[in-house]
Amino acid sequence: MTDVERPERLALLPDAAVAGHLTVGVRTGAEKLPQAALAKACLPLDASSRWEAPRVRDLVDEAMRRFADLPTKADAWLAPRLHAGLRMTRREASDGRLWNFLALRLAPDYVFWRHPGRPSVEKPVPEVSSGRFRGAFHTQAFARLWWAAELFRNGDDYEPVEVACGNQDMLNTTLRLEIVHHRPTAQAIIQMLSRQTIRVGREVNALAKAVNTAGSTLMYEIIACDEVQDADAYRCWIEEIDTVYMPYDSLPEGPDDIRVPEAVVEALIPTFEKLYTEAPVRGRDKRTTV
Amino acid sequence: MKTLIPYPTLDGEIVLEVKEARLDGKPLSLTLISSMEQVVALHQVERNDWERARIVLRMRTPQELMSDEWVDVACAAVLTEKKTNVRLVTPLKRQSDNSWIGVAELHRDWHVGQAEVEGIVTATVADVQGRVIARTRRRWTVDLHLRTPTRKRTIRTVWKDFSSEENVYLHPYKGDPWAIEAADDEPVVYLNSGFEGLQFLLDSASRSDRAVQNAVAGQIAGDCWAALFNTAVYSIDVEDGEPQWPVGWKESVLRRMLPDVYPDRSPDDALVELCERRRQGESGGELQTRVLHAATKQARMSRSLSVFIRTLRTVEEEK
Amino acid sequence: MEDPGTFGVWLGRQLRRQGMSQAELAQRLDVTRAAVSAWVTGRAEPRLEKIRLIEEILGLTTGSVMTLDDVPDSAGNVVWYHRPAHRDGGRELGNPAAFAFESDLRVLAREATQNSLDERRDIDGPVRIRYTLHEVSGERLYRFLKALRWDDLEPHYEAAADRNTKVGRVLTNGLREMRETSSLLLLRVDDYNANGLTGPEYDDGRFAAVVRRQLDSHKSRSAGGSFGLGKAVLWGTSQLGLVLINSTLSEPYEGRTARRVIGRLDLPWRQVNGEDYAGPSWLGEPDAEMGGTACSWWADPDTVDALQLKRDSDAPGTSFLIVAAHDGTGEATTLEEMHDALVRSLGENFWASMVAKSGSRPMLEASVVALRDGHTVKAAERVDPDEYEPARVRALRAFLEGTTVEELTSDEDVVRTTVRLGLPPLKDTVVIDAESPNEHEAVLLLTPTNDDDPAPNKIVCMRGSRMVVMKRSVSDVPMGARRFQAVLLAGLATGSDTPDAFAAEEFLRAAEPPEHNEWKKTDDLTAMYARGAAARIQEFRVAMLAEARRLLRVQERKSEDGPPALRDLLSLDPPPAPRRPGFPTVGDVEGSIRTDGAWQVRVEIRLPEREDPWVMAPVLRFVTRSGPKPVAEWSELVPESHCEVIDGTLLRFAPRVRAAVFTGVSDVTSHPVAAHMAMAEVDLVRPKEAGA
Repeated sequence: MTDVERPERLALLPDAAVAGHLTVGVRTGAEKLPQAALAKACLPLDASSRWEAPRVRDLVDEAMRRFADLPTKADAWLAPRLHAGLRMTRREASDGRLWNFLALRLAPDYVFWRHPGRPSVEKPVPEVSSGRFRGAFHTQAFARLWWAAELFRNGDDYEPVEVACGNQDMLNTTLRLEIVHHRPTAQAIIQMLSRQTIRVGREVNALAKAVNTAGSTLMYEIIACDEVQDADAYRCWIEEIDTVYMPYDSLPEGPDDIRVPEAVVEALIPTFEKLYTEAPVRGRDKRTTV
Repeated sequence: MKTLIPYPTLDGEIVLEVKEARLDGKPLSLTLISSMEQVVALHQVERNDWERARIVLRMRTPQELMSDEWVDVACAAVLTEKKTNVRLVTPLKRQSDNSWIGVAELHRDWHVGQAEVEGIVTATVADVQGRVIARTRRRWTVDLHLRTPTRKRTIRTVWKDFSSEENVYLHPYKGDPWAIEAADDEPVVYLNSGFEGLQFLLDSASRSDRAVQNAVAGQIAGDCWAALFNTAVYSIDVEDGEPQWPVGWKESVLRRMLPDVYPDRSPDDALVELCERRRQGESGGELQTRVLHAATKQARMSRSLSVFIRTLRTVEEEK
Repeated sequence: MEDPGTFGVWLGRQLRRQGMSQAELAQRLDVTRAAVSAWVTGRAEPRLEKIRLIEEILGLTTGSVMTLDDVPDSAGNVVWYHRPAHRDGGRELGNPAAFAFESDLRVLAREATQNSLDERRDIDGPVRIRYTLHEVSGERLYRFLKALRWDDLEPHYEAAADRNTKVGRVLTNGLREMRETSSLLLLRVDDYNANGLTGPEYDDGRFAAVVRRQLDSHKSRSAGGSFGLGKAVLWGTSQLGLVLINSTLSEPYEGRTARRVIGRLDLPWRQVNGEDYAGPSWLGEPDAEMGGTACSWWADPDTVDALQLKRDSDAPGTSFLIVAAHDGTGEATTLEEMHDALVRSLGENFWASMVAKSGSRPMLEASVVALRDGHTVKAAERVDPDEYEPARVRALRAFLEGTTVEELTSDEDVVRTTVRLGLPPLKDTVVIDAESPNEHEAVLLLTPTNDDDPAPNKIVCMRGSRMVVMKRSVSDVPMGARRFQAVLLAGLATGSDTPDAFAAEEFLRAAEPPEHNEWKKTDDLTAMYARGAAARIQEFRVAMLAEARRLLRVQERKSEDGPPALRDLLSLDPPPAPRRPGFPTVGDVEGSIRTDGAWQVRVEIRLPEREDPWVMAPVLRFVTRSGPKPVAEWSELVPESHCEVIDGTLLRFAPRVRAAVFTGVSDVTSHPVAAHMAMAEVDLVRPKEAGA
C-alpha cells in the first residue's frame, strides 16, 4: 500500500484544504476523497515518535472489528485508548488540523462506519455530517473521543471515561458544556450515572441542564475546590509513550496528574441531587428517586 | 434584554488588576501589561520556550462587601480558554487593605491563544453556598501571541508578492491586486506587492493621491467584508434548534454587518433568519444584495467614491 | 555668676519687670548711671554689697542674684501695649502681610509646617508638629478671656471693627460669631524638637523675625530663621488678628529657656478714648527702656495654662495660638471639617517629609486633634503618608531603601532615572570658578498607581525640605500605558552632599516665589544668577516630562497593519448599540418569583414607529454557564398597554405606538431548574412561523 493510502505519520491538514472536498458526493460515499491532493496539502509534525500513524490506525481497526455490529458501543472502548495512544497536550489537541488529518487522511472509513447519518425527508440518501470530518471538538469524530477522555478521566483512571462514553447524551450534550471543565463537577455527574441516580439519556440531559443553568449563579469551583493538576506529571506520561504497551482488554493507564479528591466529589453530589429533584422539567419521570 | 437575578447582589463595582506577570520566574516588563486595555502580552521573541506564566492578580471590592449582610465571602479569578477547554479558578486572599490577591498560573501545555480572566465574588445567600454576587464588568485577556498589550481590532493586512517562490499558495491569484483568506483562526487580506503601482498608491502620503487611494481601499475593504460574511454564515452552529453565535472574528463580522443586512431585526433574530436562508439554500439573490449593501457600508464606499468622482471632474475642468 | 553677660541680661529683665529705669536704680544704689549700664550690658559686675542691695531694692530673697531667680511673677506685670498712631497721621490699615495670603487653613498648614521643618533642632529625630483645634465656651472661655485681658482689648476691637474695610469686616464677623455662639475657636500649632524663638527682643534673631518684623522674608533666611512671609498667614487665620506665642528655647536667652510668652495683635488704625492708635499691639511686660512697649516675659505655669499655651513636654519648640481661627475660603466651617482640611493639607504637602526608610525616623511627624471644651471630638490623628499618597510614598521609600529598579515589572515596582538640571553661574562671581558645578542630576522616581487614583500621571517636585513644591501633569502619555505617579527629587533631596546638590538647592530655591509653589523665573533668580538662568529652569521642566514619557513608552508596534487608508475600513470593533433600533426592544423588566416557583414579570417594550403592527414573541430564558439558554413557557401572558395577546404566545402591538407593557407568568413545569437557582432574562423574538 502506498503512503497516499496508508500514511506512516500523522500530520496537519489545514481547513482551507479540506473545505472544497467535503462535497455531498463524498459525504454520501458516492465519491472517494482525493487522497493524493489531501496528502499534498498536509503540513508535517515534529519528528517525535508520538506521531507514528499505525499506533492510531491499529486502534481504529480494532474498534471496528470488536464493535462491528454496534458502532456506538465503540466510543467507550476507543476514547480512553485514543487518549492514551495519542499522547499530546491540550495545546496540541486544540489544533483542528490534526483532527482533520485523522478523519480525512488516516481513517475516513471509521467516520463513515461510526457516523453514517440517517435518511430524512429532506435528504433521502443518508450523508455524513461534515462536522464529523471537520468541526467542533465535541462533534468531530475523533476529537470528541479524545476530549471526552481528557475531560472525564480522573487523573490516571480512565474508568469514568468508560462510564461517560457509554452514554451518548454525555458525549453529545454534556461534553460541550463549560461545567465539565471543572473536574469535580464532571466526576460527580459520572458518579451519579454509575450509581444509577440518573439512568437514561433524558435524565442525563435534565441533570446537565439543571447544573448548567444553576451554574449562572453558583460557583461549583468554590463549593468544591479541586486540586491543581500536575502539568509536569502529564509531560512525563507523554514522554513514556514508547515504553508502554497498549492493552486491548483492560484499561490503559492515564497521566498521574492528581485525582480529584473523593470528598470533593461527594460534597458536590447532594447539591446536584437537589438541583435535579427540584427541577420541574416536564416529561421527566417524577417517580425517579434519589 | 435584561437579566433578572433572584437574590441580592453587590451594588458596587469590583475591579480586577494584574499586578505583575512572570514567565518561568522572570518578571515581565510592565509595558507588556496594559491595565487600560486589560491585556497581558505574553509573547516575547527571545522566549517562546517558556513553561509557565504566573499572573499576580489583585481585586478591589466595594466597602459594602465588608458589611455583615454578606457571609462566607470569597473572591476568585476565573481563567478560561475556550480552545483548550480550560477553566481555572484561583482563590484570592483578603489583604490588610481589604483588597484580594492571588496568583493564577498558566501552563503553556494548557493554552494556545488567548485566556480570559474574570473576577467574581461569592457569598452564602439565603442558605445557598457559593452564589455569585458580583463579577467584573470587563475581562482581562492574557494573549500568548501578542508582542504589545493592545487588543487586535482590525483585520490583518499583509503585502506579499503573489508570484514569488515563497508564496506558492498565492500563485492562483498572481494576476489579482488582492486576495482574501477567510481561514478559521484569523482572516488575512493579502495585497499583491507584485501588482505594479498598487503599493506605491496605497502607501503614498501625497495629498493628490488621497482620493484614488481611498477609492481603492474602499474596493478592497468591500470585497473583504463580503467574503468574510459569507464564510461566517457557514460557521453558524445550531444547538437545540437555536442558532449559536460563532466565536472570534466571525462573530465580530456578523455583529457589524447584520444590522445593515436586516435592519428591522434584532441581532439574534437576524441570525435566526440567516440560518433559515442558509438551510433553504437561499444564499443567492436577495440575500447577496443585502450583504453587498452591508459590505459597502462597512467599507464606507459611497463617500470615498463620491470624492473620487468629484476629483476626476475637477481635474477634467482644469484641463 | 560665671558669665557677666548673663547677669546683665537678668538684671535688665528684673528692672523691666519692676518698671524701674537704670537711672532710678543708680540713684538708689548711689552709683552712677554709667555703672548700672555697664552691668546691664555685661561690661562690668557689681561688688557683693551692691548685689545684696540690689536684692533688697528688687524685693528678692537673698541669694537670688547668685541663682538668677526672678521676681515672683505677678500677673499685674503683663499688659497690652497699643502702639500710638504716627504723628504724621499716616494710617496703617492692618498688617499688610497678613492679607497677602488667602487665609486658607491648607495654606496655614503648609506654611507653618514648612517653618517647623526649617527649624528642626536635632536632625537625627523628627520635628513633631501638632495642630490642636479647640472650641472653648462657658467657664473655659471666661477664664481664657480674663487671662487675655479682654476688657483692655474690647474697646480697640469695637473701634477697629467699625470700618468699611476688608480687615474691619473680618473683625466684625469674628466678634459677632464669638458673641452669638458664646464660643471661640482656638487653633494651636505646636512644634517640638525645633529651635524655638531664640534671640533678643528687638535685634536680629528668630524671636524678632517672627514677632517684631512684618515682611521679613529674604533677610531672615541668612539670619538663621526662615520664618518668611508665611508667618503672616498665622495672623491671617485669626478672625481677630490675634496670635499668642509660647516658646521653649533651644538656646537660653536671659539665661532661661522655658515659657517665653508674648501676644501680638494686628489691628488697623483706630481711635479709642480720643487717642489714635495704629499698627500692632503686644501683650507682655512693659519695657520702660523702650517707651513702655510690651515685650516677652517668662510666664509661670499657671498663666501659660490659663492662656491655653501649655506645652506637652520640655522639648524646645514654639506654640502659636491662633484666636478665633477660621478658614478664609469658607470651605471648612465646622470643627470636623477644619480638622480634615488640616490633615489633608499635611498629607498632600508633607507626605515626603514623613517617609523614612524602615528602621529609621522621618524628618517630620504631624498630627491633628480636635477638642470641644476639653473633650476630644477627633482623637489625635497622626498623619499617615501612606494613606494620602500611597504610590509616591512607595516610590520615595524604595529610593531611600535602595530598592528601585531599572524596568517596571510589578505594579509595586519603582523605577529610578535622572533628569539633568543645568546650573548657571552666580552673577557676582567675577572669575568663573572651574570647580563650581555646572550640572546637577535630579532623581526621577516613577511607579504605577491604582486605576482608581483620581489624579494619576503627575510628577511631584521637591528639594531638600521634601515639601511638595509643585505638581505637574504628564500629558501625551503613550496609549495603553499604565497610570503612574512620579516624584522628582532635586538638590539636597537627592541625598547627595556633593557641591552640585548644594548649588542646585540654592538655584531652585531662588526660582521659587514666596509661596514656594513653583520653579520659574523669579526676581531673585534674575538678581542672583547670570543670564540664561530662566532658560535652565525651563529646560529642566521640559526634561522631567520627557523622561517620564520615555519610561512609559511601549515597545514599537510592528507595522503589519497594512496601508493606513485601509486599516480604518477593516475594524472588527463591535458596533455601538443603536440609539433608535429598527426593531422592538425590551426596556425595563421587573420580576419576582411567586410562591409556586414561577417567575412573574412586568416588561416594558420600546418600538420603532410603524404603520403595520409589530408581532413578536416574548421569551423568558434561563441563563446558563455556557451553551443554549433553556426557554421557559408562559402560563399567563397579559397585555397591560398598547398590545394584545395572540394564541397565548405572541404579542401584537398597536400600530404606530412607541411603547407598550405586558405582564407574564412562567410555566413552572417548563423550568430546567428551580427558578431561585438561576438567572433569567426576557427577550423579544420574531415568531417562528413565517407570515405571522
